[in-house]
Amino acid sequence: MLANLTFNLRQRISDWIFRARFPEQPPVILSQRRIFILPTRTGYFFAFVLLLLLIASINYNLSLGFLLTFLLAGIGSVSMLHTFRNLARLSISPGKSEPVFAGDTAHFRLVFSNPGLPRFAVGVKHAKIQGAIGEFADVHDTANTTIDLPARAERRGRLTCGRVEIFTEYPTGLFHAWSYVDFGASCLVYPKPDSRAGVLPVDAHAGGTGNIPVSGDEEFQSLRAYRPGDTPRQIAWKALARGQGLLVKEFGSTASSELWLDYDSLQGLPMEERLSRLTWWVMEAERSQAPYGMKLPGKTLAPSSGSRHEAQCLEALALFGLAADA
Amino acid sequence: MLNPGALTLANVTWLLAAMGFVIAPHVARLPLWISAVCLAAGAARWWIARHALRTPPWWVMALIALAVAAGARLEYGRIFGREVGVTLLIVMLCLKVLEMRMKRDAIIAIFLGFFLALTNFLYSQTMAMGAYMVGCAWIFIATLVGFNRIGTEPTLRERVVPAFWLVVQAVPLMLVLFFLFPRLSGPLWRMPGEDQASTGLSDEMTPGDISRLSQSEAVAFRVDFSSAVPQNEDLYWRGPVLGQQVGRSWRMYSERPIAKLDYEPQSPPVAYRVTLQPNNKPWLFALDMPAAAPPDADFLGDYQLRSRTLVSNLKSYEMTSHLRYRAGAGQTERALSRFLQYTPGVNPRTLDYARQLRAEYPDPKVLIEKLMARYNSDFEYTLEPPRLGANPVDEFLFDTKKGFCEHYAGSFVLVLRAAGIPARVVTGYQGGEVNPITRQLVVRQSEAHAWAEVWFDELGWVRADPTFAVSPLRINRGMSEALGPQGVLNNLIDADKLGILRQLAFSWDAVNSQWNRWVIGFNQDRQRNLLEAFGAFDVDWRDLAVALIIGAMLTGGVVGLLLLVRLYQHRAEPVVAAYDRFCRKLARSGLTRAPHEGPMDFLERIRRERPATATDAAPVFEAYVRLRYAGEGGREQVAAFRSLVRRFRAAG
Repeated sequence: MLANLTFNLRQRISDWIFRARFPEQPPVILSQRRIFILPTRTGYFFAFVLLLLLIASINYNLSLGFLLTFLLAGIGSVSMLHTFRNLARLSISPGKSEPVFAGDTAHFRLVFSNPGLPRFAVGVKHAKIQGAIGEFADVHDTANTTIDLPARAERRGRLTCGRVEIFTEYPTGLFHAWSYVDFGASCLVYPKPDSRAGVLPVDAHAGGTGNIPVSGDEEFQSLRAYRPGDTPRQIAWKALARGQGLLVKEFGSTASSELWLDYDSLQGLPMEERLSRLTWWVMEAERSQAPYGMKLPGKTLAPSSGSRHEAQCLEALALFGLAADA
Repeated sequence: MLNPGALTLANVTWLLAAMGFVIAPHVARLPLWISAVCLAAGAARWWIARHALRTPPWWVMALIALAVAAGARLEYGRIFGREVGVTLLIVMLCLKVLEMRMKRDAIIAIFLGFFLALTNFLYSQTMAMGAYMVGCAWIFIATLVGFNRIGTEPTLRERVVPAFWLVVQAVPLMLVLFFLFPRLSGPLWRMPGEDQASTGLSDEMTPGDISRLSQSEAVAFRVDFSSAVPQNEDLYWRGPVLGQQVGRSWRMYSERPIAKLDYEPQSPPVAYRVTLQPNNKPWLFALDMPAAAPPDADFLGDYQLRSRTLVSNLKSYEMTSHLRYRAGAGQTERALSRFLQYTPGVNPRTLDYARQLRAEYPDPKVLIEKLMARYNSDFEYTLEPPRLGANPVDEFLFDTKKGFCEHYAGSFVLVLRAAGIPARVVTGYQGGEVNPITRQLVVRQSEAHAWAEVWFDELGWVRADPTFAVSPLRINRGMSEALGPQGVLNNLIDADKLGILRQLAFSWDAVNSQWNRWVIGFNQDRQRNLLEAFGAFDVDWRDLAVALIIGAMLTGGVVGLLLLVRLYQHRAEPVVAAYDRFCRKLARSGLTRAPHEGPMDFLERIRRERPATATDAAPVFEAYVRLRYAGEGGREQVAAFRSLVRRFRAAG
């Protein structure tokens, strides 16, 4: 009951704070105004214990009892400052999060940097999930600290991280200090690969009209000027050494068979299942190192290979048919 | 994902150590088997943590708890009361520790530990206990810090140092609360049967009682005189007056309080303040003869002061006394006849001797002189008199002739009574030692004494001290002069010719007295006095509450500022800070780095301007450049760079 109430209260507060400035520009520095602090349940219990100690001290007229009670009261109050200080002035930026497949766990990375005092047991959790435990790390002042906040990627598309609570109860656990950040970070979720797709559709030569030269990497063909995105492996280092500038070696290959992964070839299946099977094929094709192209309704990716090409294909599959593409 | 509620071995070990620390002072008072149960529970819990076993099921815990409660009932004969309560609290704590599974249980155990620390103060509130209290807070907070280091295992330093600072920073607030929290004058409730062992005079005197007492170096009370301390032979601190002889013992008559004192003062009053150590007895001590009773005490018919409540806390009272007096003008024949009572048939030789004396010397004064002369001739004053049999006074007076003040006073009064002269035994303290540092007179249990009062029709009650006849030194110079060194401490003190130990002993007593004054005895009165010293008169609890809140906010604010200011101080990277220090050293020798000047340019310029300095400075510059621009930056390199800067001296 109480937990629910405080959770709702915190939601209200955080909604109010984020009225205007979402998403935030990194880095966010946890200024005094953004940090909230309340006693924990242990803190309220501690106060009750202090009251009992005080009553016992009064009744038995124990001067040392008074001293103990008041020393503990002092420690309690000072620990509030320490808990607050454990968060204050931390600087937080979002890190890059790697794409994952649906059903796996995505990790949203937060990078903490700390201008001075070392911080201990700084926790991070999803603000919107009640009862989340969170991830903890110590933030030392020597180097940046990263905390990966896991999130379950249920469906393909873009998984947004949402509002994140940064919190701490160090050193005594009597107070909970917290703050919220929301960088609008998101993570790409590829469709879950479906092994029922079976072997690659090599026989599905679209047209099969003859040997079309496709750019590949089997035979050296010519040199051309470097374009951004070319892999370093293809750079003609000897030409560069001769002072001819950045040139890229082009290789030619004559594809005997052309591999097209086609959405339309999977007739009779629901869309998500088709995408899952295509995902499987993309990964299979990439593993076989043969160039492959992909055809989706309204989008065609020319045959190629390499991790860049694979990522492009998977991204197209992940975002296929989803409006929020930006 | 790690579970922040789980218990690690290190944390459990810490908690067990903290529990051991808080239980330790209780062990001497606990039955052996309780200590064994606690030790077993602790060991079992450690084993469970060490091998990641499951904690015992609830019914095992319930059985142990029942068995211990039954055992405690057998041991103490009851289930309520202070001793049993503390014992059960200790067992409860141990069982809680044994069954704890989660962080939450451990926190409850720590909070119970605070109570246990408090119960120690029921028995002792010395300075050592104060230090122990701070130790308890420290170790418990260190344990708590360990439990809140979620994610990483803290080092010993990372537990102890933050806890230390928490305790230190809490001290100002503690002091404000301690001195300003409104104090009550009495307890909220009282538990039945809370008697405890105590040292001090009682309402009965049997030979051996006072000599036992005088082996204690414990302080009985301290006295602040507003003028000079009277002569040692006038320092008779009147306590229980024993008028009734019962077998071997002397007991008090039940005297009624009297409204007004019936004696004539014959000397100007002496004013002083007595600070009495708690002894759970009602007697208040004052110099013969007290002029008025303190507010919550009565005068009894035999001029003893009795507090209306037992002195269970340090008690301080103002007194005035007249050292010369004529007392007992209003005594009736009937009242006096009580002081002629003795047990017939016992000590026949003494009774015969008394009658013989009376026949020989009809004048009481002469009789007393003769009796005193007898004591003076061949009696010995000793703390270790021989054991006495069925007719103790006979044996003492005619055979052994060795005794302590109670033997002399008792036999003296018995002889006078048998000779038909009213007399009574008065117990109390004689003498005291002036602490040269505080100018206080310290009266110890070792100064416990018994003397006599004799009735003369024309003079009233007159003090007569047969011990004085035996050992005048005892009265003129004090106990240790008369008997030689007593106890280990005094042996040392007397062996110490330079007086250093004696000085130390006085200083220690001075510290203890301050501790009593400001900590143990800090009550409503002291609080009022303190506030009046600051010019606040007629303060009630509402004013105190306001002062308390303001004081707490002020100290909290100051501590908070000091704590938080470090956050906003721009602290340069250690390397840059060290380089700045280095540049300042150079600047002091006349080589100031221009703001635009990089380290290598600066070094070049130094080479040109002052080659001697350049040879020394070059390694520092090179180390700095390596650290800043070549990607080095391990702890050792940084430390090496800093020590280079520290050692650098700019030549001429």
